[in-house]
Amino acid sequence: MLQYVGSRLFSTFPVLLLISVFVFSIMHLLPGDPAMLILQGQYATTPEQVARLRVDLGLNDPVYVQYGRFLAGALKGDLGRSVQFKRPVMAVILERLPRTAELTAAALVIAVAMGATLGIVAGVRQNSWVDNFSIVLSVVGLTMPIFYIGLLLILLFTVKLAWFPVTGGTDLHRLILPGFTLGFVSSGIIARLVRANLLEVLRQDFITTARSKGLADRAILYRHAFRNMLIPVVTVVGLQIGGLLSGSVITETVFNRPGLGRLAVEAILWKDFPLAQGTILFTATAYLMVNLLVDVSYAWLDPRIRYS
Amino acid sequence: MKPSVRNKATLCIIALSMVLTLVPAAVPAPVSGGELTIVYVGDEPKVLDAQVDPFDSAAMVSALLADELVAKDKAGNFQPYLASKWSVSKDGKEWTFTLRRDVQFQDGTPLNAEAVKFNFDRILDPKTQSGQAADMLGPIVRTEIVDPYTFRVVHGSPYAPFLDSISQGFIPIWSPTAIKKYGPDEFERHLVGSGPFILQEYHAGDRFVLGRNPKYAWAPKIYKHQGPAYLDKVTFRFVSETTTALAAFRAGETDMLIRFPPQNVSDFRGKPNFQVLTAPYTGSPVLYVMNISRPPLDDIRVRKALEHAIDQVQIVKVLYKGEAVATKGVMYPGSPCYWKGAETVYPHDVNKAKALLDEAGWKPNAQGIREKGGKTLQVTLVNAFVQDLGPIVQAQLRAVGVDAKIDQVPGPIQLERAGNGEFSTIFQHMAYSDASVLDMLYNSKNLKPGGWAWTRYKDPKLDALLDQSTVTVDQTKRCQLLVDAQKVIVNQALVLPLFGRQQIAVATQKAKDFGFGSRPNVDLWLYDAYVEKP
Repeated sequence: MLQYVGSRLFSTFPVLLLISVFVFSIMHLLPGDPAMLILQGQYATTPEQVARLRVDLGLNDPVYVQYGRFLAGALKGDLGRSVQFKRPVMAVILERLPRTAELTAAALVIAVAMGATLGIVAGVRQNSWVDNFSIVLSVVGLTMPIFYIGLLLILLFTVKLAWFPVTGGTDLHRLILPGFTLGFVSSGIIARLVRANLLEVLRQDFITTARSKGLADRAILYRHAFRNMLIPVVTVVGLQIGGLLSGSVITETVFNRPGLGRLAVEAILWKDFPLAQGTILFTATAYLMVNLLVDVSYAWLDPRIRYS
Repeated sequence: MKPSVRNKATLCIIALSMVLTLVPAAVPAPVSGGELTIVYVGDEPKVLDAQVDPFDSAAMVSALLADELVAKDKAGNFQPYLASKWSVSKDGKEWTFTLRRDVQFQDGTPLNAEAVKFNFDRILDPKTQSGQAADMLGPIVRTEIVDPYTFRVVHGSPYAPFLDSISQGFIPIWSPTAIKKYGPDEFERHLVGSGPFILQEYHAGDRFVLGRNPKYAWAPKIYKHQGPAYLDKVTFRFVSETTTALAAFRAGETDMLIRFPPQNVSDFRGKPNFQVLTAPYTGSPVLYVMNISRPPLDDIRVRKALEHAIDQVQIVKVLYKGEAVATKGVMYPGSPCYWKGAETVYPHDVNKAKALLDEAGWKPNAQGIREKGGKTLQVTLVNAFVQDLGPIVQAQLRAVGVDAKIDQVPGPIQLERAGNGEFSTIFQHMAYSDASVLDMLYNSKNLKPGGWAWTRYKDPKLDALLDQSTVTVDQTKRCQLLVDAQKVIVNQALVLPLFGRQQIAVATQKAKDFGFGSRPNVDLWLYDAYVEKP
C-alpha cells in the first residue's frame, strides 16, 4: 500500500513538471513585454518604472534561467512576489486558501448529501416522483450556469427573504448560499450516478442470494449494496472536487468571497503574472493530490483491489 | 436642432449637481456615535497604503486615516492642513512648508519636519515600489529639514501640479514610527496616520473597519466642524460585481454604495428612502482618440465631419439614462483650466458633416456609404471597456455615410493597438485631478511605449504650450497656456469627445452630511458625516 502511494506520488512529478512549464510560459506567450503589460493599465508609465519592474521580475535573464529560478523557488514554496499585493505570492495564497477550502468543503457536503439521498431514493423507488424529480434537478444543475444559479439564490434569499447576507454576517452564515450554489451543480451528477449504480448493483447475483437467504431489504441495501456502488461514485466525487475548485472562481466572484478563485481572476485581470502563475500552480497541485487520495481510497472501499 | 441650448442645459445640470453637493442634506444638529457601512463598487485595493498602491480606492481610504500637507476645498482652492502655510521660491523650484506643532499621529508620534521628510523619502525610494505617488511628486532633487517644523522640497524644474498632488490621498503622511515598526510588507495592514479615523480591522478581500480618532483636533477649514469625527465606526467593503453590490444594498446590508452604476440610478432617484449624490470627475472625458497618421482620419475635414456627426446628449441618454455629463470638450467641464469654448466648435449637425465629407471627396454610394477612388469611408471603433457604446456611435456615424466597424477587444489588446497605431479611433478615458492630464495625452513626447499620446499629432506649438504649462507654477498663467492647448486640440479635431462620468453615491437616509471633494474619485468626505439616530 505504502509502496503504491509512493509510486503514485512519484508519477505525479512529471505531471507537475509539465504544469509548471505551462504555468511559467503564460507570461512569456503573451505578446509584448510582460513588464510593459503590467504597467500599461496604470497612469503614465516611465521607462524607469518598466526597467525597474523587469529587474524585479527577473526578465533580463535568459528564459531557461528564469524557468530554473521559478522551479527552484516553487519547490521551496517560494512563488515569487505579487506585483499588485507587493507581498510573497505564497502568503497571499495562504491567506485566501481557508476561504476556498471551506467553500469547497461546504459545497461537497451539500453535493454529496443531496446527491446521494436523491440518488438512493430514486434508485430504490425507480420511476417514482422522487426519481423524476432527481432527473429534473440534475438536468437543471448541469445546464444552468453557476453565476445564474447564484444570482437567483441571491435574489430570493437575500433580497426577497433576507435570510442570508451576501456581504455581511458571520462566516458560517455567509457560507450557506455560495456552498449551495456550488454544490447544487455536482449534486445532480452525483444523484444520477448513485441511482444508476445502485440499480446495477441491486440486479447482481449476490443481492439475489442475500434476498433468498431472507435478509431484510434494509439490511441488503446498507450492508451489501452501498459499498459496492461506491467506487464509481467516489471517482466522480473526486473529479467534482476539481470542478468545485474551478466553480469557486465564479461563485466567489458572485458572492464576493475572498478566495483563491477570485484571486486567480483578479491576478489575470490585473496582469499580476507571478500571482496568476502561483494560484494556477497551487490549484493544479491540489487537484492532483485529491486525485491521488481518490485512487488510494479505492483500496479501503474494496478489499479486492490490491496495489502492487 | 438647437445644440447651444442643449449645451447650456448640460452645463446647468452640472452646476446644479455641484450646488446640490454643497447643500447639507438635513438640518438637525449632528450627533456623535453610530456607524456606517459603505460598499465601494469595484476592486479592493491590493495594498491599502496609497503611497504604494496606484488605485483610487486606496487613496480614498488612506485619506480618511491620514492627513495631507495641504487641503483642497470644493472650489479647488488650496487650504492649510498639516502645513499651516507654505511658499514657493521665485524660480518655482523650492517649496517650503511650515508645519503645525500640535499634530500627533495615532501612535503618539509627533508630526514634524523629520516625519514629513521620512514620508517623502519613502515614496521616492524605488524599493517602496510606489505605483503613482512617486510620479505625482514631480522631479524632486532633494528634501530638506530646515528646522524642526519647516520642511522643504526642491525640484529640478518647476512642477505646477505639485500642490494638487500633495493635497491628495495618494500622498498621506504616515507615522514614521509605525512604518519602521511593521516593515515594508506588513505596514499596509497597520496603517497609522494622524487622520480622523483609525484603521481597526483589516480583513483582506473582505472588509476594512475604521474607528474614530478621539484625539483629532486639526481638521482643515474645508470641513464644517472641528474636533473628532462624529461616526464611531465606518466599515468599507469592496464588491466588484455590480449585481452583487446592488443586491447587498437592496437587502439593507449596506448604508451606501459608491461608484454606483449610472444605469441603475433611476431606480433610486426621487424615492423617499434614498438619497443620490453625484459629482462629476475631472480630467479627460470618455472619448475616441482619432489616429491622424492613417487614412481616412489624416484628413482634417473627415475628422471635423465626425465631430459634427456625434450627438453626445443622445449617447448619454441611451447609455446611462442621463446620468453622465455630455461634453464636446477635451476636458471634463468641471476640470481646472477647462476651456468652455470647446462645447460650441462642432455642434451636432448632420448636414454640416455631410458637406464636409463631400468637400473631402467622399461621395455616397447606393447603400449610402461614402466612397472615394473605389474605397469606402471606413473607420474602426476599438473599445475594450464600454461595450454598449460602440453601436450608438456606429449608428450616428452611419447617418452621415461613415461605415464604422466595432472592434471589441480585450483590455491588453486595446493598449497594444493604441501603442502601435493599429486603429482609426480608439476608446480612452482618464479621470485625473490635475490639468496636467493634457500634457500626458497630447504632448507628442508621450507617444512612446506605455505613453498615452495616442493621436500621433506632432506639433511643436502644442508641445511647447504643454511643456510650458507643466513648469508654470502661477495658476492663472498656467490655465491660459492650457486653454490655448485645448484650442489647438479641438481645432485640429484630434479626438471625438463623448461624455464625462460622475462619482455617484446612493445611500439610505441614515447617512447625513457625507460628500465628495473636488476630486470625487478619491475625496470621500466622511469627517462631517453622522447618522441621525445613532
